[in-house]
Amino acid sequence: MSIPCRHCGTPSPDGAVFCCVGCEAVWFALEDGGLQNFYELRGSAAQPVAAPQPRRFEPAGEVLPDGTLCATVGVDGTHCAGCVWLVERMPAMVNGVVEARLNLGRGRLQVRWHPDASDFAAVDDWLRRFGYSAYPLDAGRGAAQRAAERDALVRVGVSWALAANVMLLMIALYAGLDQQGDVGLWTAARWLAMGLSGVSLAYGGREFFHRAWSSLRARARISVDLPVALGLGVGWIYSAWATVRGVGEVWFDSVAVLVAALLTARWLHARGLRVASDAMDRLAAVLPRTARRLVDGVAEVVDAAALTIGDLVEVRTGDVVPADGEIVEGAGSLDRSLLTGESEPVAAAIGQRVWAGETNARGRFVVRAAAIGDATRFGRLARFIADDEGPRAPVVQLADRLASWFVVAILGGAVVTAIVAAWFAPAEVAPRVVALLVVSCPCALGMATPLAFTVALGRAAKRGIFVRGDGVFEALRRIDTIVLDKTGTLTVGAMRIVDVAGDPSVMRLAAAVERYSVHPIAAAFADWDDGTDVTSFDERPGVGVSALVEGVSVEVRRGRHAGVEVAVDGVTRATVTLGDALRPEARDFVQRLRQRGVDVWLASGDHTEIVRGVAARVGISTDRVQAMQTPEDKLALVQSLLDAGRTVAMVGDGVNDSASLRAASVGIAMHGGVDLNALAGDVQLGRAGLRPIEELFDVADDAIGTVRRNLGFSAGYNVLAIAAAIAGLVSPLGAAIAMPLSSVTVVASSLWQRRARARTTTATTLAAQWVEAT
Amino acid sequence: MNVLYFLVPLALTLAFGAVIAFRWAARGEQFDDLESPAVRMLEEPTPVDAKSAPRESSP
Repeated sequence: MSIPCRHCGTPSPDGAVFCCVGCEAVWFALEDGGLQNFYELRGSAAQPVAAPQPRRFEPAGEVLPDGTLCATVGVDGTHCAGCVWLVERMPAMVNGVVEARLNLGRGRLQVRWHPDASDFAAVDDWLRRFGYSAYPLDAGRGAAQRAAERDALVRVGVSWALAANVMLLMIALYAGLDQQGDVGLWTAARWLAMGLSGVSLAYGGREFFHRAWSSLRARARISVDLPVALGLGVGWIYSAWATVRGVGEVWFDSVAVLVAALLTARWLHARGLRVASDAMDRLAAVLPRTARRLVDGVAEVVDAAALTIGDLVEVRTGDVVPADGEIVEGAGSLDRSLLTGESEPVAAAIGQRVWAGETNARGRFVVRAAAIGDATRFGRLARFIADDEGPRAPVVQLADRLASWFVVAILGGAVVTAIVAAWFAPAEVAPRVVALLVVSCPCALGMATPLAFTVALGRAAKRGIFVRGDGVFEALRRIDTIVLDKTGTLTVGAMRIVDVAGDPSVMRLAAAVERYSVHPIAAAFADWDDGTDVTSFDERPGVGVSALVEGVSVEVRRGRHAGVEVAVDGVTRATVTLGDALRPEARDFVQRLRQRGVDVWLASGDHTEIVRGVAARVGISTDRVQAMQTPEDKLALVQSLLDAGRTVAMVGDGVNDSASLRAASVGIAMHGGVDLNALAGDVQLGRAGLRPIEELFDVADDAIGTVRRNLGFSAGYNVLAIAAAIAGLVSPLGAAIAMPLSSVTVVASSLWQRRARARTTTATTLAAQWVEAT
Repeated sequence: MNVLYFLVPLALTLAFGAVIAFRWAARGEQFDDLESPAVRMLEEPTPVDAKSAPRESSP
């Protein structure tokens, strides 16, 4: 729903009271100074304006020993050093606030206040005045995640410290310290290296053994952790045995460096994924936290979670319905876009069912609660989406698919080595087999995927595309079917005037009337509005709006067939056809998908003729079009395509798409969609339009290309290593040099990809922006 | 060369100290946010305003 800005009258975005932060600030500045007369004297906005009621929430605060409350909330709209400075001035500006710390990178604000002197609402209001908006976070999940991240960082640091010390000791051995020279020092160095690398293995390498063991026990696919664990384990045990006996070669440095390098790659990867997971935290902000419960006819504001079945809940204009139930008193106009994607408010009267998450656009009614919280339709949907065990198409990582071949190759190589060594040098069997296992430990293989994907995640995030999870890039490469939503995906999602039949001169009168309408089509008239004064405005939901303009009575009402009619003094003067404008790039987008060999489907909740019309204009054949789809229908469509063995991507923007986004191999949530979608989708677009999806495909192509190159290099290195080991040419020193070299090559290959591509993509992005601007 | 029997444990002790320091810093959330402290450094230290409650004044 779009309404005129309360300050300047231009249509404000979805559901907002003001068109921009500037207008909001001016409005409040006038109100604070008691200068509301301004609006009366200006004359153009004679309607009294009530202060907007922002959606409140109370963050889960922690009581500190000094009696202050400490809470962390998410903040939108912070960009730079100035924002940090401004937000952290809060203690001086808001009574009772003791401390405010802003994490700029993640948009997190930690605020501490005295509960007696202030409350969070004051903080919220203060932030809002500067155009920042706060949203609640799941405190438990955030803390656990942060703790896990810190532990991972500590493990990386400690592993490198241990590896460096082992390397120092081993350099002494390589440099000529031997048994003949100084037996005491030689023994001490080996024992010390054994101890340090043992700690490294137990402390940092533990997770590789753990995962290798669970992949074995689950009898699932062999993961890349298995050959890694094999190389690490055998290398260290053999070296320890050699140390205890005082005979033979040791591989401690290779083991320790391997652990540190692999942990670093994983840690970098986890950080890269964090960007997208932060987007999930917004889910909590969708449902209202408070409700107006009626007790003996008096409304009291309570926590929405405290409602019980049978409670009477009052819902006023602008409120979000907090529970599923039935209207027992009053009437309203419900905006159901959150649940169904229908953009037009529907009238609701006594006896009708309402669902939590619907917004009352107009009117007041009382609901008898029938379902609360997780039991509501919205709650069930949210849980289905949040549930990780849901029906998700599995994607097996390229590296894991190669891992089983690696294991076979390494074990086969070990057998060959043993046979060859037994033939030529029987005493050399064990050392050569161990040399093989250590040197062919797939360090590059273990790092190839995480590093390439970390780089790709970063590249995507820079373009405003947030990708969650590894499988996404691989799945994108194999997409053969894509299901598109219509409203908000192929189309802009807002009503536009497409045709005026009759007398166009009445349009400015119609626009003046529509200026004060809360109906979503009102914004479409804004282009025709010249600021003409309006009196006796009246809006009848479901019928139309009327007012006196320049002394004549103007009515804009629902047309007999389609669109709306503009009547002046009761005579219909023009018929206006409204439509949802197609995105300019939609046709090209569909064509390019076709060129990739992707089967394009269109599924929409809209009427058949409209959906077919859009399909025809973008070039989707009629047998691939599904109209009048409920969320369940869309889910069934995606499911049936998956069952047919296809890899399906779903693109959508409404909550009605959420379930199918979740079920598809890759769910892409459009920019400007509902927060819930961000949670359902694997990819969240931070920029409007379809072009980011094309860029996403490019990034995925590059990422998979890099992974393939890395894996190819890793495989080549291992073939050489196995051959050298069979020939008995691998020494601990050789391994200590060759293994890091192979890792460095993989790192370089992953990073170089970005460099090489950066220049060309900058040029294309600039070109794209230029095209968008003109 | 016997000095090494003293120097190597000493070096290890120093390294251990560094590891403990790193662990302390990481656990103390010093690596959680690497961006904001850099811009915070440029701020003037402002005394807490008389309007807000005093910092250390609670039970």
